[in-house]
Amino acid sequence: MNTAINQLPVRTWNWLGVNNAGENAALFVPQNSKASVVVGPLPAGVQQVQAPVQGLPQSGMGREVDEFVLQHANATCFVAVEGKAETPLLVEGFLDDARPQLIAHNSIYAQKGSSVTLVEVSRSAPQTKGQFASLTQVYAARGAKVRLVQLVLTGDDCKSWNAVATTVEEGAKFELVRILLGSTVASAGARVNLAGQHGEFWLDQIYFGDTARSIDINDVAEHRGEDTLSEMHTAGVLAGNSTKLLRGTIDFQRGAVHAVGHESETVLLLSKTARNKTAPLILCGEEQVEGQHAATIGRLNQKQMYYLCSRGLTPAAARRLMVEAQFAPAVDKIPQEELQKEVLELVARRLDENEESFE
Amino acid sequence: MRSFETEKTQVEEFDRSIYDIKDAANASFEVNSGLTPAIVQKISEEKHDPEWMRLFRLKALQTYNEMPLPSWGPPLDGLDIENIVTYVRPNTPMRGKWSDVPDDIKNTFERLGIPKAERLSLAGVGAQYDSEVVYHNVRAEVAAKGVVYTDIESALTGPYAEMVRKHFMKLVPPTDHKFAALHGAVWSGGSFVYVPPGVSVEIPLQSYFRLNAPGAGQFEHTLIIVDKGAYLHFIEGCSAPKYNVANLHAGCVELFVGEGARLRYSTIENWSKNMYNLNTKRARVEKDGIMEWVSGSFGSHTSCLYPMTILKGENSRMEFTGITFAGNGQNLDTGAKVVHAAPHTTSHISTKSISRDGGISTFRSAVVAAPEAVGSKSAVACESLMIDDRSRSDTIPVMDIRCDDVDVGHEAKIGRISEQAIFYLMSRGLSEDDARALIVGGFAEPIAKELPLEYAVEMNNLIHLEMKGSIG
Repeated sequence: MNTAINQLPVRTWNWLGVNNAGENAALFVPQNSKASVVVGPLPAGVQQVQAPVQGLPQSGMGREVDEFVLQHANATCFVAVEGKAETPLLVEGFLDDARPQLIAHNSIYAQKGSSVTLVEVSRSAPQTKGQFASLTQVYAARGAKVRLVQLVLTGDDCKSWNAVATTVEEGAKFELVRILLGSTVASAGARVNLAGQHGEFWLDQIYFGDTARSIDINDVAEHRGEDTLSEMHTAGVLAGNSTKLLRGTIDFQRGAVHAVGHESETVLLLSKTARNKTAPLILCGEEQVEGQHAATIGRLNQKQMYYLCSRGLTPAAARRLMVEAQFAPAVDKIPQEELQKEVLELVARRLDENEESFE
Repeated sequence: MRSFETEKTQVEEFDRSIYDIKDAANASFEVNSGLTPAIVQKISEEKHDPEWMRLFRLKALQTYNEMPLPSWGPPLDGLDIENIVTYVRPNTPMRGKWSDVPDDIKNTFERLGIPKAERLSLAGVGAQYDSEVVYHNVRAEVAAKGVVYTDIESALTGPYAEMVRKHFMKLVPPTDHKFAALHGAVWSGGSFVYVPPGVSVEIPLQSYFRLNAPGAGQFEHTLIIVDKGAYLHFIEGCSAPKYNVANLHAGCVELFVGEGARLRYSTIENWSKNMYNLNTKRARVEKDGIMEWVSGSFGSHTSCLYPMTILKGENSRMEFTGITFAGNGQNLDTGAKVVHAAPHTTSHISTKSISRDGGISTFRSAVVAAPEAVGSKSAVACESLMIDDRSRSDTIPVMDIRCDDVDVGHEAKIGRISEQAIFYLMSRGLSEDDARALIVGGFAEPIAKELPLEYAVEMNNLIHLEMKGSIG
């Protein structure tokens, strides 16, 4: 059975199993329980507001997830931004046996010329069988700059759904940094409507699949305005029996004159039994555009490994160095050093745990 | 009126006419339109099928009735099988000499240049008119090497009957998709080729498919077996005059490439723009074998065409080189599929597509690396050119990799003709039309060079034909 989650914008052969997320990504029954969420201090220029942004497109995950979160949210954080927020706003969610479900609805209204960074972190207690579903809605008004950093660090017994819906107006910029290191089933999807002239969308994301982890992603950059730009870049590691499906779509709609979209993915396969699926779409209804996609899927470069080992590194250290290098563009955009360190330590631990499968 | 508008009209009226000349309907037999068990039985009777084939057809019909239409791809709303005549027998049996073919049919193939090409550059020719092959011939020296090239009906009951039965719709079973099932039920015509071990057929064989009857379907079956260490270049051409009703082409091509063998399969498809071209092509390649596809898609109202290669043997290879040119009213959904099912296999898919004048071009691909595909490599490159903002060009590639020791690369580019390049060429004295045609010709050149000379010329002519009047 399939779900209506993470639907490929244009369907293709059913036997490939990429048209939508599988049954394991089906949503859960909400318990109407309380959530454990800590919202950090509001930076200067950021104010909490009563209502979320209205009139945004549906998220990359689709209507099913959006409506689920809107209906069952047990945590909300709606903010409006005026001016430049110098420090990031941190929203941390935690799942444990007492509060195993977090359904978070976050919203940012970034006013003209403003800038803000929102960091969303989800973690869980060991062995907690939890569910974390979120919908983050972003409106970047003219010239605004919004960076959304999502860290999914929940444990192996959790499932997660991270939906993002954004509209970017003239001269505005939306950056999404997505770190998918947690959950046994991690689903995510962003839809960015580049509505205004010179609007930009930058995506840097990393994932690490191991054990029987399943990762399912659907990101869509919709170019509607002239001279819009999308840069969508993903790096990932697959080990163990993990599976990953990345759908990335650059959609040039008519009128998006001189729009440019670039998308890339690098997948390191560290196990014989991992499975990678990639579906990078370019949809084009406008003549004067430039769209490009590139994907590289394979093992670690053995020549580089050999060189690093000849310089005295152990194979494990060399491997870690190379994986960290691949992850650096995303990790470097995490605004807090402690969080960067936490991510890198988790990656190192994952590599250590999977050492046997590399041999 | 601007100059290019006049030119465009002239082109449409003059050049396309070679393909658009209609012969008077003069069929010796045709079934009623629609698809029923009685019609399938009738086709089987008329074709004197062996019993297994009669049963095969009926089972395929059942499969067809049970299967849904594809939930992906271009719309097929304009296609109603109830309006399609699935079998039209021309007024002649198959001949071995052009002089024996009735004048009206012979003249059609003369205009298309088939007898001339046979004389100049082909080792053998098969010509199908509506549902039956009307001409088949192979050079004596090629036949002397043991090469079999005949219509598939003859093969079905002749000395190669068992070989045909063993391979027929084994690569593309009727359960594959709804139109494969349709093909299994009503197939008629097509070619059978067998190249014995070690035999190299130095000059190509060609089959040409012409559909003349309005509202008809053509369902030819091509079965080619290239045995160990053998080589063959097979060329397929197709065209039809334009009618105001939908025509349907649901052919099936099954290619078996033996150990160390090499098969090159070239297609120039120029169906009329009322045609639904829902063709299925598949190849299986054994150890050290090589499959090469060269595909040019210019015609059809709607196309769904994705030749598939199964790299079954170690070190086997495939190359797919394709170009699609979608113009006004066309929705051409083309691409390729490859399954790496053995170690050290290699695939290279390179496509170009051009959309203009409201045409829709979609590149669709699948690269699958099975767990056994250790040490395999795959590279996919697709480039799309948009000529105006009324057209569409979509790229839908998928990679499914289940093996860690592989090297898979994919590149896609979409863009427009550089204004700077046009300006430069115009500053050198070219008109804007010619500058654009030259750039598009250059864009398509990597494909053209893979074709035999006369087909490259035909492709270039088609590009020029399509490009005329593309400005404005």
